[in-house]
Amino acid sequence: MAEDDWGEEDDGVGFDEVDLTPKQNIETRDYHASGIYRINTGLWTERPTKDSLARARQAFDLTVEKKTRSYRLVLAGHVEYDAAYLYQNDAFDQPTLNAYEFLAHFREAYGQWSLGNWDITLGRQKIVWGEGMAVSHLEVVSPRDIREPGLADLEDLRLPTTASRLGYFRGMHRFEAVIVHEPFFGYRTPPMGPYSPMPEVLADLQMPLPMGGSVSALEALGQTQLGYSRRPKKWAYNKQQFLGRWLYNGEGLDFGLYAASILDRDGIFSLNDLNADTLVVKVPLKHLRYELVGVSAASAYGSWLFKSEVVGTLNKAYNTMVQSAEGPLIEMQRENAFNLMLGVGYSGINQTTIDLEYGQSWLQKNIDNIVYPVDIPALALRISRTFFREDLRVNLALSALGFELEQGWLGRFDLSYTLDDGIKVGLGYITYQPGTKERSPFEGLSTHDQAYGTFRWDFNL
Amino acid sequence: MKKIHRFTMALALPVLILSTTIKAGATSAPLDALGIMKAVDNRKTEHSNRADLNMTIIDKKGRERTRTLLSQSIKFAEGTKMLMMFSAPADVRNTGLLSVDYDSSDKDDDQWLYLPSLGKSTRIASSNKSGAFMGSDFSYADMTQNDIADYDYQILEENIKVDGEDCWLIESRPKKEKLIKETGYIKTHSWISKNKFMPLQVKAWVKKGRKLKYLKFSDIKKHDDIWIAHKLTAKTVRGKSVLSTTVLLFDNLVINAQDVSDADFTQRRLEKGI
Repeated sequence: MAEDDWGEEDDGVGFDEVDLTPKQNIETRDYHASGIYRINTGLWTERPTKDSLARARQAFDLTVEKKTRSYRLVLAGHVEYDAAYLYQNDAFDQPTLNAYEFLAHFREAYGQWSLGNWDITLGRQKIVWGEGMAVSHLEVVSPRDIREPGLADLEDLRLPTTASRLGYFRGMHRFEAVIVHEPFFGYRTPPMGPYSPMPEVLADLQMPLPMGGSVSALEALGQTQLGYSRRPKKWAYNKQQFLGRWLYNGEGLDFGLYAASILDRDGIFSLNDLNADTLVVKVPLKHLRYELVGVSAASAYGSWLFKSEVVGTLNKAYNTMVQSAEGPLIEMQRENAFNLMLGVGYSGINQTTIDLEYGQSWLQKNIDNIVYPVDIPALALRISRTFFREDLRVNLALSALGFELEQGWLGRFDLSYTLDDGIKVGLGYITYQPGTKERSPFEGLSTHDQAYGTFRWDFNL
Repeated sequence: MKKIHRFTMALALPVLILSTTIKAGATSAPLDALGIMKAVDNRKTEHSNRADLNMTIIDKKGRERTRTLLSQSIKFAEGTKMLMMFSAPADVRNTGLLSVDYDSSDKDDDQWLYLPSLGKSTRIASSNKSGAFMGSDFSYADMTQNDIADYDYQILEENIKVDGEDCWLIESRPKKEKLIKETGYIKTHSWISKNKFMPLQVKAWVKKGRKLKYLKFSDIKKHDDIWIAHKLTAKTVRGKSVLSTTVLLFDNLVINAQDVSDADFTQRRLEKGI
């Protein structure tokens, strides 16, 4: 049989006309409103049945936009409620309930004006820099929501911050200057929250008793609750963050140069300067200034995409911890670091994309007793494939620390199916593996594997 | 070497409305198959265009999915720039694709994707070209250009009618196996209008699954002396069974619009969305 020995019969079925009245047309209004309603539920799979409800969250997002050729106004809000915290509410400390049970905030709220080659954007806005998707040393502008590592939806992961942004565009070049006004560093799990390594760190710390002997810091805490106290917490003239970049998006190559004077988004903590009120002991989390310079590049060859970031951080602060006779001594030390990200993507397989990113940092001088080592290789692999005309999407994501996974890793597998335009349901499973080293970022996540289900409805108003 | 659009140079979504005109005098001498295809390719075309596209995908069970998008393109010295931004459904609103398609086959096309949920535009590599575009019956290969010298052409019928119009029926076969692997098409048959020098319908043999892809150009109107199809219907067929259908409707088509310029094909424009 010849290779093309089919289809020589009547072509009527193929060339028959299809009468169709479009259900939707391009809207011509200069204003637009849209929303997202989501339900995310999850079960801890490694915990007893009575404690197995991890999430029962409903979230609603609303965005209103008015746009003309010369300006754009955007106002967006987000509200979420997690009913999982209704059950055995007393089992959670107040900082945990504050972080997970209910959240309502403005998302983007900005005005953008275009004047010739210039754009100026004022207000709460999302600014995402760098070439890395999962591993990036240049994505330092917008804060992140890392309350649930590896689980946040893409919309939620990066948060807007109040900033002024000026852009100048000429051909393939973009020059951008940003001043971030707001000392907002995103959301993270509280010290004793469900994804915090702190309980295990405190369990390992020995506190001497007056009558001799010692107890772990965790036991010493007793009923005391721990929360973070972010510093700076208020707007201040000398706490502005300054960033600039030049981007070239040209033939076969994207290239960028970056410089910034910013406040450390992660912050360093201190147990020596606890700020106790009547209910919660606040652990100060200080976001100290450091400087950054960097370059990025991306280039595609056929179905291959290559990305890189080379970044120098100057005088960034790192936590150190030593055991003294009086107990643990948490301090900080500043050091310069060289940071690298290399990424490769492949999209040559039908309906499939594969991305691999590698990142690592090297301190200029070693810091003894650093709490969280920074020179650990970070690896992120993501494979995504669609089936059934893109109705079914399957994702596999792996994030690992250490070439031998000794600092832990997480793996997430999920699939989502489009029931109708804008309506999706999904199922997934995430596993956290703490690794074999102490003080890994995954420390304490030994019973956090979760099976989850999602429902999502995107709609235009 | 100059590239042509696959599916007898007429299926490319962003550029298909560039590819439907006749060069004056092209019919003055008898033409062989290659000459006809060159004449179709060597036509007068507009410098830029903009249109609203409504893409409806109908599956085997009759279930419909609709995507609406703004599409615009402009020619430059080395090729064509194209910008597509989705308006609906809501979950892809403001998702945009900017591509720079070089005439030279020696150069990889440049492409950037903007995802609102990500908040930045990122360079992307070419996808497997035989894959479906946005779940439709059009493939990425249908949207890109190819070298006219990479195909062998043969006139199958000198005189054949489509909707009352005189046409040539021309078969195109890739010269190299690699091209079949890239595009998924073993061969195509194109019904080329002798009057308009544009394809009125195309049939393609899809290697994977031994399927057929049918494309019909209809609602053809003249804009600034350029024939343009305002409706494209693509069907994927196996045996007698239609597996899926995609109908693409063009609305608010503007040719050589004064307000479409190079500045509309930048990351800046891509990130601003619809």
